[in-house]
Amino acid sequence: MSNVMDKPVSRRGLFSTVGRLGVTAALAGGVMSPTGVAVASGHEEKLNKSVERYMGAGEVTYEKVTIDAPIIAENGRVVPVKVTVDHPMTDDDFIESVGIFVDKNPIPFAARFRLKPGQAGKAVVATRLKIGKSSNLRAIARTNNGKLLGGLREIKVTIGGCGG
Amino acid sequence: MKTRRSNVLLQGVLGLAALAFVASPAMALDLKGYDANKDPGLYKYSENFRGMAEFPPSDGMLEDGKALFNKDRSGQSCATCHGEDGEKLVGASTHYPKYDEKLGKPKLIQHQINSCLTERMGQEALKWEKGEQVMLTTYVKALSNGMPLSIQTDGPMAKFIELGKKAYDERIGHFDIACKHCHNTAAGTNIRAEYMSAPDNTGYANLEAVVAKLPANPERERRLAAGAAIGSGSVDHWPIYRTKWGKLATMQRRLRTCNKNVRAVVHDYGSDYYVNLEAYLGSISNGMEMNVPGFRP
Amino acid sequence: MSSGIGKAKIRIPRSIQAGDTVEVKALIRHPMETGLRKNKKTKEKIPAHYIDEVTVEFRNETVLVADWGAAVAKDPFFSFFLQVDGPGVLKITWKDNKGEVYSKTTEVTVK
Repeated sequence: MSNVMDKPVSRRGLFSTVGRLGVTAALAGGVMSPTGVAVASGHEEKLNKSVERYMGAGEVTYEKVTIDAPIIAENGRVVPVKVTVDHPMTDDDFIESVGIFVDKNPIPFAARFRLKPGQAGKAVVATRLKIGKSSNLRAIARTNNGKLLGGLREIKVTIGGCGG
Repeated sequence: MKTRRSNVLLQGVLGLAALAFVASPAMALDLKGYDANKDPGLYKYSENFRGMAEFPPSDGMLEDGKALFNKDRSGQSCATCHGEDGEKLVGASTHYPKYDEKLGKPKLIQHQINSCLTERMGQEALKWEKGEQVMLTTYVKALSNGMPLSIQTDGPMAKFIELGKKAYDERIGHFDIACKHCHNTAAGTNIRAEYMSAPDNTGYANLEAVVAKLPANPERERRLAAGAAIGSGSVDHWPIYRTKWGKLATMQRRLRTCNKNVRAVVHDYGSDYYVNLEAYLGSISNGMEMNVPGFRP
Repeated sequence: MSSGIGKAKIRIPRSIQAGDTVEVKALIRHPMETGLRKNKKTKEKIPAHYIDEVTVEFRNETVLVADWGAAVAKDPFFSFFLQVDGPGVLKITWKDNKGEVYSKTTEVTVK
């Protein structure tokens, strides 16, 4: 999935580009629906600010970051998410931080993990998130050189069966 | 008593070995917690969810239960009679709901805890389904983890289990459905992202026999592949931690919520109706290993 | 019954050899209130109360710092990989938005 998104995009134009890429992805892999990728403008604004605040400014290249999460979350209150960044963790080339954002949450920022090279052996982090409704999940990794890598994953959230 | 206990401990050690769990010395609670690998009820959930079940949010809550068990209540605690680690209660919870001679009907562990508190210790009864009661109930049940559920089904209990079965099979509420319609007829089917459990004891045990009875369809293949038959028991892994509720809850809450969902009359916690129902559910999951507190979405 | 704030569980593999990279899993007990929920009965907003910073130290060196938002689920879980060069103490410290700080340590042994 990442190989269709390895085109660098500016964050300002990120969503329209991602929308198009989403269509490509849907055609290529059939994993992501184009509608699922479209983000309402209010969210776009919030998300952009949030990403810039926590991950720094720069263009996000959607590659090398994999998100492991259920396709349909059993319950939006506790959704397990694992982010793997395919990148070395050596002293002069490493992942400095990994941020996780939920596009459609009222507050998109979920978590950021700042890693130390050598100590954190792999750029793999996992947590459990609250996801309010079906949304894109976005993981963005920042290298020590300030390069931003990203991964995108759609998660469907339903309400618990029977409402009970 | 000593040998029985060490037997349970051994099983606990074996169960936890795979999880490579390290506890600090202060919390060296030689008590076996929930083991996701022994829970056939998880088979249909995602890999991610099953991964979560290996380290559920309820991990560590048994220690809270133990603290309450040892909590000073006017100079005594549960531990005064039952031992600091509850060692004298190991195996006791496998028989609950249990017939009570004095009451002339079955009782739950919650009833037993309340009667201990009020009759022997001069304390007030615990409020139903509040934190303290749920934690203590969970702890007392977990003391028997790894032992088979063995609720009495003959003698004086026969009548009450029959009543429970009647309640299970009887159409109720605005939706006009019985427990059996969802949990037997439609068991294993999805209800949004969750799925309908079957409270019987087929679980992993009689897998081939159960699957053989199913018509050849994807569901059958799926169950075989997952290594689980449909029945996932009930009383054996309750109380559970449900992510939706965000806390531990007993079977009583589940039964009340089910009744509410089918728009039926909701009875009181611990009422005869629910005790009989729980006794029946327990009787059909007899033989399954206790695995408390379970974990569900 | 208290919600058990301040408690945590840390899981690390049992047999570690020096130089191994192992997965550390931790579970912290915390309500993680977003501040966006309302009390259904009183209709009043439940104030935000969540962990905003988690620091992991191993052998007195910071390994990982996590900044969290309120979107992290109740009773938060996180895991990461740790390079173990030798035995030592693993310490997890967490601070919530009310300024409360808690910590939990565990001994990492090496074969």
